Amino acid sequence: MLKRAGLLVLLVFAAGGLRAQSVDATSWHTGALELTSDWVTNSGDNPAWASPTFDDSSWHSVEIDDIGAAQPGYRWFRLRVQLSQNHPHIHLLIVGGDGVYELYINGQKAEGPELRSQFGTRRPVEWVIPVMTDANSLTLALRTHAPLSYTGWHDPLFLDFKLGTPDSIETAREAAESQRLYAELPSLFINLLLILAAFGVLALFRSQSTHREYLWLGLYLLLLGLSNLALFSAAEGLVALAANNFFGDPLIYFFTIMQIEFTFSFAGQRVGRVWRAYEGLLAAMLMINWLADSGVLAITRYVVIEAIVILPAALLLPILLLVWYRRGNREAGWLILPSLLPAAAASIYDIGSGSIFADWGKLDFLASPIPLGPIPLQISDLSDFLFLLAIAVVIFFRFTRVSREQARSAAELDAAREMQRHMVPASLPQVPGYAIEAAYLPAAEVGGDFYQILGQRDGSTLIVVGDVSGKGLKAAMTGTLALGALRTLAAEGLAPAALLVRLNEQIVSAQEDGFITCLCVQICPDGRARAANAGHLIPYRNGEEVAMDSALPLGLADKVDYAEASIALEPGDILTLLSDGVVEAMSASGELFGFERTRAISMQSAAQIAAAGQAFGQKDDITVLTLTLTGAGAVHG
Amino acid sequence: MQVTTKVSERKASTASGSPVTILSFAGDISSASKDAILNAYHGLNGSTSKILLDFTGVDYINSSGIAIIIQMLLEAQKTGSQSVGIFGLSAHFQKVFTMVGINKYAALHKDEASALAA
Repeated sequence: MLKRAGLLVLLVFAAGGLRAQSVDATSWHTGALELTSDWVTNSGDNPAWASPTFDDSSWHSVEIDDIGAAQPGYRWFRLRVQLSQNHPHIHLLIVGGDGVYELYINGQKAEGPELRSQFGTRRPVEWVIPVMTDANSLTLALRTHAPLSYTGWHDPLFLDFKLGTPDSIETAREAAESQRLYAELPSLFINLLLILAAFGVLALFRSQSTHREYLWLGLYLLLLGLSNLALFSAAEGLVALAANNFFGDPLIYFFTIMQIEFTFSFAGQRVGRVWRAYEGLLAAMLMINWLADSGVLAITRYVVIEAIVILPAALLLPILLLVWYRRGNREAGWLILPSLLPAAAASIYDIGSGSIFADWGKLDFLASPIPLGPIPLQISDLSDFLFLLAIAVVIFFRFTRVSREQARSAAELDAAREMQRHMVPASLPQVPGYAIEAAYLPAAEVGGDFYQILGQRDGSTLIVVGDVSGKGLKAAMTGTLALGALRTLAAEGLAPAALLVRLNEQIVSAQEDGFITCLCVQICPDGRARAANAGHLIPYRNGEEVAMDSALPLGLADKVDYAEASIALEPGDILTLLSDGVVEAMSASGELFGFERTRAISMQSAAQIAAAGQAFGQKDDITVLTLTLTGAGAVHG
Repeated sequence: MQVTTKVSERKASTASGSPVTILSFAGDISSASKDAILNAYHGLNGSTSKILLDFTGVDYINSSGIAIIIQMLLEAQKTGSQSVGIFGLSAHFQKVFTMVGINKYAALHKDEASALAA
């Protein structure tokens, strides 16, 4: 630094007292002429410095395309050009930041380049400015002022300055523009591919909406693509630099959060507190980004902080995947390589950028594109492309596996529903002396409720209501097994308690997982009834619980005794039998429908009771049977 | 969303001075609770003769959770030497436990004080 400062002083002293030299272009008549040398410069701002007569001999000389990074504040540059008397029509080509300078030609402000705020500043941009004078001397004055977003990223003000005939300047402009846009092509292609892939993955999420990994991956790809597009579009002058500062760069933290969520979701793991805190830190980096954008924090420091904050995701997620893989999570292993790529590339780029800003030199190449033939390929583009390929393979296998599982589940569900249809009677039989109503509302998942109304040889009727634990095909199969055994035992004319004892023995011996709650009531046309209960909801008689004993549900223990209760119904009495789907109905706030509400509505019709449970928040199958003794043949006295 | 079951163990004494082991459950009790509950029970010292199950911190018990409690109670009954008491149930689950016949295998108490006094 000291060496540079000394050199600067020497240059200033050498220039002092001398009128700045002119560029002699008197012999120029055709083509384009480089005008990057012999400029003089001075910091500050004074409108008089645009004048051709201003004495700029005390200003120091610079090459306008080699002045290093733009500095904050105003600065003027001046150059005199001597032309021949009959010079051709002149155009100027200025390649540099757009919005950071304005041009004066012989004291007159030229149409075109303007000073703008950071939201209107782009670079590099090629400006062609016609020179509307036939004078044989040109005084060019550039008034420059770069906003913070520009100086913070150490961008130079100018890359080229040419004078030439309109044709030659247009050719030079097209060459510069093509080179600039050509450099953007690989990024544009790969990041549009990322965004396209994002929508593809989000479409997968629509078809497998329980698999949130598709949601996180879709958002991750979308944010990654948008962030990269903003970065490279800003770097190639297609959009304002602010697009990267205020949009592209902050997205880095959000796509890293999406990457964490995707990784955990893909591996079927819960995001723990430490990772949640880390996600909070990433979100909080928006504040640090804002501090950098507002100039409170130097950009050089910011990029180092950004790299440090992103590094844990880059390093620890692959390690975590490796740990899960070694613990037997095979699919976690598929993600290790893809997960290494994007964040690692971002960190490498930041280290390279840091090296350039800090003049380390040796690591500058990390921020430079890889020359792949005529295509300059950014490291991040390469890593994103490889990531996309790898993740496409991973997602293909995951989606195929899940689709197969879903097809199997759907087939199981169909089979379970088919079995479930046979667990309740297709129509209610006539029961002598009783009016029977039934309501059966299966839950979205196939549950295990069943009921049967079985006529007995002695004229009585056996009514059995039950609930198999669990859901789906397994519950349906256990229910079917129990119903088969029940029908066989009922044919033997067993009393309720004896029937439950035998049914329990058969279910225990079948060694099925799970259990069955079961209420068995035998009713006679004259109103006499007896009931036994294996862990099921106790029936209500005229709105009050029947006084009866309960014992273990079927299938849990091999020797269980079931007590029998006798009930004498009067004409008009209502006996209500339910499954726990009403009692266990749950509101959105987590409140249970409960026993008291159930008791209070137990005199209503079966359909009304079931509807009340459903409206409250059905979680399980709902079965309700009401038996009203009509009076014919009732017991009197 | 289902909450993981947490089981903690502590020691206490009955009113008569007999040692009691209290297994306190917290969270939801469902099929996912099987290992947590049965491992805690199996991990008890074999000489533990009086066990209290504390459901004060339990929010919800589904049918599979009830089956696990019954399995544990049946195991305790088979030892022939362990007596089990239960306290801290909400009124709803006290009724459910009675309905499924758990009260035939474990005495149901309102709270810890009444369980220790029994």
